[in-house]
This record gives sequence, structure tokens and C-alpha cells, in this order.
Amino acid sequence: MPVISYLAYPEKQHRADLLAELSAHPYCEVIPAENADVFIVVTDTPDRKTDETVRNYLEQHHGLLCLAMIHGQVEDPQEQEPNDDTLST
Amino acid sequence: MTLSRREFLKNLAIGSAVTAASQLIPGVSFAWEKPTSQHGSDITWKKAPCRFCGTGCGLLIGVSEGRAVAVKGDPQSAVNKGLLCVKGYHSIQALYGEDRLKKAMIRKNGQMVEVPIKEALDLIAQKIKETIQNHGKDAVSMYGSGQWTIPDGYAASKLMKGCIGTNNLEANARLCMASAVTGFMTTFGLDEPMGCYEDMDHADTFFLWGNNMSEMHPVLFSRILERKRTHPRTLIIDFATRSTRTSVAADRSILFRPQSDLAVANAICYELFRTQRIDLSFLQKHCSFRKGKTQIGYGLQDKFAFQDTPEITNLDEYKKFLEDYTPEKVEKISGVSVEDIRYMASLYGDPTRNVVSYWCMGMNQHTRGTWINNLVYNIHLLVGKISRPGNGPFSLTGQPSACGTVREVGTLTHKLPKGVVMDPKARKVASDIWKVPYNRIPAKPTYDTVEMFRALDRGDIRFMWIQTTNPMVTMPNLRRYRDATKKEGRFIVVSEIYPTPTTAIADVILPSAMWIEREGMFGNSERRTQHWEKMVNPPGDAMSDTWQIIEVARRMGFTKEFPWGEDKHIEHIWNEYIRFHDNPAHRMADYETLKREPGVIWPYVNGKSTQWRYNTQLDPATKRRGGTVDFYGKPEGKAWIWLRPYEAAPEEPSKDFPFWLNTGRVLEHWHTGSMTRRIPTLHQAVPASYVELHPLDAKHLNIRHGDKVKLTSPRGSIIMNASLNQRACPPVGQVFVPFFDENYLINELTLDAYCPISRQPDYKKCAVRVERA
Repeated sequence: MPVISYLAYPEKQHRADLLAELSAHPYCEVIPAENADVFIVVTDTPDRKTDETVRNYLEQHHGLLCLAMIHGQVEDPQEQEPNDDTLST
Repeated sequence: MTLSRREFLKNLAIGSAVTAASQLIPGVSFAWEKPTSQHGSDITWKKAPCRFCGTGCGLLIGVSEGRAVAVKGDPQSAVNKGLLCVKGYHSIQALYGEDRLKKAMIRKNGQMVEVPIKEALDLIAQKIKETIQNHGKDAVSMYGSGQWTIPDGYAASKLMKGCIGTNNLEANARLCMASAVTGFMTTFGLDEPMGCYEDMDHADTFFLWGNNMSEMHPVLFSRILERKRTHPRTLIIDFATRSTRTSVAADRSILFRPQSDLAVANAICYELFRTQRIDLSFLQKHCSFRKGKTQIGYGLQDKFAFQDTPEITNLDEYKKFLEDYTPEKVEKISGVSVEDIRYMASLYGDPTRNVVSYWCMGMNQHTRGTWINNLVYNIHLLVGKISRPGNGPFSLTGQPSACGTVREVGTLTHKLPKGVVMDPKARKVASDIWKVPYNRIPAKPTYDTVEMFRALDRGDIRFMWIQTTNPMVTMPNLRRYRDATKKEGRFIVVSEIYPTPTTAIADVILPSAMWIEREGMFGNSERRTQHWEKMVNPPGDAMSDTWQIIEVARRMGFTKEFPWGEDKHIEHIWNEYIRFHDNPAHRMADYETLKREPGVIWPYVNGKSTQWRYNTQLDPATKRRGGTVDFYGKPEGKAWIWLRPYEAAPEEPSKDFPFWLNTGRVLEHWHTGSMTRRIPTLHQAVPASYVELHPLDAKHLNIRHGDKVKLTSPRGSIIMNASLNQRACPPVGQVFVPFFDENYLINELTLDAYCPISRQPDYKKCAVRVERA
């Protein structure tokens, strides 16, 4: 169940379209910077295969100048502890 | 709070990305709130403008359990867009220095003794009344600050001019921006810049006139660098008297000899004519020509008097005047090469370039400060690059409310909240709003800042109340004015937050509430007014400067003029104050708008800020007389192009004193350091003042970095450490000393000469001898 974050630098002319497209993507969450042309994209996928598909989709997107992976957490379902579904902070 | 494991992982991933982005793009902000821990969950974030320079960066202050615990840049602020400088990030630590003044003190038998604040306030009121009775109302004075909030300044003006009936009110902004005011007034008829910081997002050519912006206005300089990063055509020209961090970042660093900027500005105009880069249509429609007096003196004598007399002239005379300023002639005066003068003129004159000129103390602290301001306006007017996005002259202010309080409220001897005391209409407006007798407001200005301290020395002034400023570090020719305060029969009140050389000469010290310990407003360089609420309680008996003034006023019998309750007095003051500016040329936002917004720019008309004044498409106050601009500050709607010559400085290097001394600031410290030297990180970064020398001069004098050096001027001596090839480097024959360190009072050496029009002293030029100590 991979969770991965990226810094994504959009092409200036595609910024708005890209933001709308990624926001609507079922496995992506997008947080645009308020004062710079950069997005944080977080992918949350059910398995490695879907993750790979989503990553390929991002990497090949013509509206992106650059995509940099920042943080990744990849867990297979069986590795998850059964009762550990919440964390209190 | 409870998070699912996946939410926790996602937050971790987002947090890592935010951190990475912050490293790559300083100041970047995202609309994402990090889930708070138990410890941090009770932090409340409130907006405030930074109080450590005139930029007016928006801060978010984190308050927890009655204490300011965190600072971040406000991404909603159009000024800084989330970015802060090192002073901003550490600003709240200035509240919590160990030696914070918490109790009022009165000098008794030569010793300062803690007293209840009511006793101190009683004594102040009594002393004012006694002084008026024995010596007249003009023996009482008040000296305030560009760090005063707008309500502080308003209350001071109302008390001094409207209630007591004296124009003995000045502020330290006289020392930092008076030349910008007189420059704007003489050219455009109205004070303050026509543009705004958004010019930086439209300009591609930035001229910095004697302005070390990378240290003095670092957030704005970051905006310029960002413009350069995203628009490679952008050029930064650093035109200065020494090499600084700004020079390193600039595309071209051009050094000129002190005072010769006057000649270079005229040479640029000469070149614009020679190369036929003048916008003649703009010139004919929107400009007229004036000349004033020359050989106007330097204000070195007590009771110095000067009145300029504008005389109408014309384009032909102006062109003839400029013939004295060919690049070849000016190269000899300034040391700036013919090539560099032509290069600068070519950029100003290039019709494809948007040009902004910025300056601060370099042009304002100048014995011809008004003139050099006029001359830079001339350049912009000749090419029509003014009052439109990305084009214009822009004087930056050094203090957070030099504009909002000193210039707009008018806490100077000749000013009223609207207009000047010499104008019967302005006095009528003030007396009506203040509900005081018309005749009580004197029609004649009394003393500018330097002359006010001279009057204290002579005994013409006997009582002085100093708030939010540290003149016993900042006055030029300091010894004379420090000795003046100690003379028999003088009574000095100082409102401060920490002990300083100024509290050391006080007869009464009032502990002041600082910044976010009280409600207030500041007005920044770009005409932006910003409000903040009281966030934490002041320590001990500390009280806001506004409320101190009100308490004293009431003790003097002016209860009717200051009737407000403590809980809402700032709102009442604001509502009264903005009646002075209820016109399309200067309308201010209402109180609720200020509370809500990160800041708005006046004129604020129909719910909108006016970013570019005089622009007929953007400024609702223009009368649209035809053309792109309407300089409505002048009756005929035209700006004045002034014929202002080069004149030498009053004191130049000589055989006995062969070096120029220049003074100024450093990034880490705010003015006299009374606050920033109590912030450990900033203090340790630059723990002591120093003297910068050129390595060749140092070699010649057998001085190495860190050696003790003795500086001597005709007024005094100082011994301090040498600094070679550190953050900046003066040219051969010049030295530079920062003034932030009260242990090294460099102003004991400086000269109290000033611009006769603005009466702002020149801290950038006097002559010294340099020796190995």
C-alpha cells in the first residue's frame, strides 16, 4: 500500500489544467504552492502495480517540467499489524 | 486528535515534501497545516506586521499560554508572500530580554528609583505644566519615532499641537526619510511613492541608488532576485559608494565618490537628451520646469534658516543647465566612467525596459537630500517611466511606520494629520476634528530634530519626552546633544522597553508595552496600512505609548479631548484619525477592514487599494486631464522637473582627516541594537561594531583584520576592531562603521550638517583620520 510524495514543477502554461487533472485523479492528492510554481503530489495506491502505473503516468505527463520523488512508504498488506489502524498524537 | 495509520503516513510524506521544497525555494508556502502535536495544539496564530524595518512583512505570531512562542511568514501577505528575514524570524525574542523595563523610575538624588507608574505619570504632567508656566509652551517638546504606531503618533500630535498648543513635535524619521518627503513634495506636491512593491513583478531593470538592499530590505531584495530568476532579461544595477552583498548579486556594480550622485543623475539626463531617448509627448503634457536657490548651506549653525523659492524655467534652460554635466565632466567629479554613465542612461532610456529606482538612506541622509530625490524623479519623468506597473522611483523607508505615523499622521513640527500648520485651512480641519480652539494650533513650525536638541542645549527647550527611539546613540555630533540633556534645568522623560544610553540620561523612565503587547497599526513604504491586535500582556507596569500619552493628557485636564475607554481606544482613535483623510486621494480603510486584511494600500476607495497613484486608469483621484497620468498634487496637474546642481559636501577628506566616514546598518541588527542585541542568535552573529577598511589602506597603515583602529574626526575619537574583506568593502580612502552597537558611539564623530530643505542630517559623509591603535 504505497504512499509516495513528489515535488512537481508544472509547465507554466499547463499549471491550471494540470492542477485540475491531478486533483481529479483517484490516487493523487495535490497541494499547490501559494507563492511558487511547484506542487506537492501525494500518491496513495492500493498496491505496487497501481503505484507503478500512477508513477509512469506522472513521469510521462507533458504538463510537467520535472518530477522529484521526496518520500516513499511501501507496505505490503500482510506487513501491517492487524490492530494498528489508528495512531493517537 | 486521532489519525489513521494511512493518514499518518500521508502527512509524513507531505511534511517531507514541504521541507524539501523549503530548502529548494526559500519562503515557499503551501496551504497545508501540519497536524499539531498535543504540545502544539493550543497555539493560536495571529497576524502582525514585522516591526524591524519599513518593508512591512506580514508575520503570523504563534501564541500559547499568554506567551509568543513562534513566528512564521504570512503567505497571505502581498508584501512578503510567506518569506521573512532573520530579524523577522527572531522578532518575538525581543519581547523577552532579561533586563526588560517593567517598572517606572524617577531620578531621586541622582539615582533612578522604581515607583508606581501612576506616580511617574503624575510627575510628568506636573513638570509639563510647570515648564509651560515658567518658560512658555514652546519650552515643552516631544520626540517620537517611525516605530511609533499610528495611534501613538496621532495621540502625540493631538496632545502637543491641539491641546498644549506647541509645534515642538518631532520624530526620528526626520533622520531617515525627510529628504524623500521634501523630494516628493517639491516634485509632485504630495508625499509618498506612486508605485508599490508589485512593481518588482513587472520591472526588468532595477537601479539601486546607494541602497544596500540585500541587508537593509532583504525580503524585497529576494523578490528582485526571484524576478531575475524567472525573467533572465532582468538587470540589477548597484550604484553605490562601497561594495556590499548587494553589489555581488548585481549585474553591474558602479561606485561613485560620496556626494557626486547629484552630478551623475544630471549626466544621465544629459545623455537621455543627447541620445534622443526623451519621451517628449509625456514631458510636454505632464511636466513643467523649476529652479531654486543654490549654495544653500548645510545647517551647521544654530537657528539656521532657509526657504527655497521655486522659479519657473523651461526646457531650453534645462538643456543648457545639463551641459555642465556631460559624462566626460562628471567622470572627473564622480569617478564613474563615461561608459558607465552612458550605460545607465541607455537602460533608463530603452523603451523596451521597465525601470524602477530604489533608494533609502544613501540618498536621504545627504546634505542635498531633497535635490538628489528631485534628480532621480527627473530621470523617470524625462522617459515617462513612472506611475505604471514596473516603472517608477521608489524611496524605501527604514522604519515600520515612518510613512504611516510620521508622514501620514504628521508628527513633525510643520505637519498636521492633513496638511501643514502654516495653512489656515489645515489648522481649521484639525481644530474642528479635535474640537479645540482654532487659535490654539500655532501657525509657525518651531524646531526640526537637530534644532530641537540645539534648543535643549541653549535652554529654549526645558522639557523633552522621548518615546520609542534612542537619540543618545543616533544624534549626529552626539556629544553636544548628550551634554545638553545633562544641563541644569532640563527634564527628560524616556518611554522605553530596555535600558539604553537614552534612558541613562532620563529623569523619568516609563516602561513601554512593545509591539504585540498592545493593539496598533503601522504604515509601510508602499502606503500599506497594517493592523494587529494585542496578543500578549506587557510585563509589570509596562503601558503602550498611546495610553501613556492619554494618561498624561488627562492629568493635564484634557479629558474631553481624550475621552476613550482603554478597551476600545485604538478603534476610536483610528475612526477619528481617518476623518482627516476622507478624500479619494488619501482615503484610509475602515477599522474592520484593517482587522480582517493583511494590509491595504491607501488611497483605499470603494473597497480597493490604489497601487499606482496618478495613473488615470488606476487612481480614482485623478481628474483625467488627458494622457496616462495626472499629477494632481500640483495645481496644474504637472510634475516639476528641477534644475538642481552638484554641490560639494560640507566636510571632505583633508590632510588631517584624509578618509571619508560612512555609517549605516547591518542585516542582523535593528538600528541602535537595543532590541536585536538582546536576541542571542542575532547578537552572536554580529556581536560588536567594527570599522571596514579597504585592504590597500589597511596595508598602508599596517592594520590587519581584527586589529584595534583609532578613528578621529574633528568632533571625537573611537577605537574599534578593523574589518577587512568581510561582508562589504569600502573603496580606497573610505571607511564604514555600523551604528548598532552602543559600546561604539560612532555618532560622536559624525557631523550635524543637514539638507537645508528637508533638515535631514547626513550620516554618510564626514572626514576622519585612521590610525592603528
